[in-house]
Amino acid sequence: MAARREGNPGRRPADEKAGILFLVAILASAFFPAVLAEFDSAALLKAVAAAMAQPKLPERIAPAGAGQPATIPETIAYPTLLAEGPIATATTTEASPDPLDVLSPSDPPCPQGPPGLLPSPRAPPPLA
Amino acid sequence: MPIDTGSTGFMLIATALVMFMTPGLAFFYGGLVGRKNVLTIMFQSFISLGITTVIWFICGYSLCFSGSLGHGDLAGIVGNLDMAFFRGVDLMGPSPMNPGVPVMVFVAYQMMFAIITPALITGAFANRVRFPAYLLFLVAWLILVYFPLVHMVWGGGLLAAWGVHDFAGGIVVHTSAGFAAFASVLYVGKRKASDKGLHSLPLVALGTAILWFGWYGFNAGSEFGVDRITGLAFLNTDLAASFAGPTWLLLDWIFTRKPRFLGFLTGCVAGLATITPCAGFVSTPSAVIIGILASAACYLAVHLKNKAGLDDALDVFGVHGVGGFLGTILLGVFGTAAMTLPGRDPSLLASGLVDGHADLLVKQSVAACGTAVYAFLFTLLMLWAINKVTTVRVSEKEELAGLDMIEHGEEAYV
Repeated sequence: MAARREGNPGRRPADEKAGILFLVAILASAFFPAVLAEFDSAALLKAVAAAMAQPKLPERIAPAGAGQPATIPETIAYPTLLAEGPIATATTTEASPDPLDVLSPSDPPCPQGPPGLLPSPRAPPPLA
Repeated sequence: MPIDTGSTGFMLIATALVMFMTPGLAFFYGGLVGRKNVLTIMFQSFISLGITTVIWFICGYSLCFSGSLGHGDLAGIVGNLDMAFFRGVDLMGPSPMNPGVPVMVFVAYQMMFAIITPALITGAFANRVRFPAYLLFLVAWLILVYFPLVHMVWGGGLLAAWGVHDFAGGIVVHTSAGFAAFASVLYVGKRKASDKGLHSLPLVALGTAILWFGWYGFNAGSEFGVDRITGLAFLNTDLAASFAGPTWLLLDWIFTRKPRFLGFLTGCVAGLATITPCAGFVSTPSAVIIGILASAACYLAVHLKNKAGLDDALDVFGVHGVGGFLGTILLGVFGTAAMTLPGRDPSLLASGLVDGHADLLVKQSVAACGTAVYAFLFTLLMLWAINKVTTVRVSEKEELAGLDMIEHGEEAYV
């Protein structure tokens, strides 16, 4: 105890650790919300947020045909285009249609298979 | 225009609060030095109450606030002598910042700032400087450094015209005093005597409490009236100090393994100095961030200063210089148009990075760097010149005996 009171190096006792953690916890619990509150209105982050809150999914990736590579839409290949396009400026309150909600069990079966099943862009092209 | 009694009453109280900071600083510094040098450093603060007021009456107010860029001042750097000896400061005159407040109140309020700023520097050369040299330094520093900076920032000079903002003195008071302290440390060198350590932590605590109390007048009063911004500046002042204190305590606890009272007090002062330029321009969450960053930056600066072997006895540079410098730059980040009153003059807006504007950050950074260089160089030059007239530094023998007895023939403790 005496050694600790004199500030000798070594392992930190539990009460010292607890004190440090207490200060870290209360400061962090104020600091991070403050940062979020401040930068929530930053124009830079607004642009990013607007880009993230696009109202609809990007175009689907066309599957690769025989002898042709898969086509990746520009909005995926070049995400920065989103920020410059009209989609980026859309408000976040606009309803975003979910493709999975389009069909109900009472709907007639889809001739092309169930929605939502897309070939992965990383998947190898189907064998000819 | 009829007098605004509420604002005038508030400004008179704010003026008294800022006046009270100088004795508070004397206690703060007095506690930090050894028993044989208490009176000397306290007197260096108190004497500013007298000498600075004399200079302010003769030419100080005029050099700060008469003329503006292109209208009779000296190239936007310093005012003229039209209002020397308070000529033109009449009973019915309105304050330049708020016509509802009499000009007399404005003159008194600004004078209190002039009194405390050179007193801040004295912490850097504690135990080493002769009293006659200090008196010369006080007058020369006010005329060559402080008055021009006030004119440039608050008196319609160069920096004001360029769009630089400083709510309550981050540039004018803290950056200038801090970098002048740095120059003083380099000029006078290290202390030789063993009377180095602090002699009374309770005195330091008392001084901090008075400083903190007075800082409400310093920052909230800089709105020059009572409105919503006054409340914002008051609250931000408290937030920054209250977050900076525990942050310094935490760093102390981690690195020195002791939650030191002195560390907490120093952190509070660092937070107060850093929020000063921002107090009425930033939101409350920003004040929280600024308080935490203030302690981290000033703690690092003090650590580096100790590593470099510089004898900034009472950490004026580490706390006021770095704090004021950082706050000035952070205003360019956190200043927001959301924290202003509707219909206010657009030139008074400080809109920074959080609003998506980078130009204020550039201007604030340039102003902070320019002020630092200006204060540093002029202080060095001034000390060199004063040393030609009268010896600045005491001898080793005098230092060992303690300046209270040698310089003033008095002792704090018998």
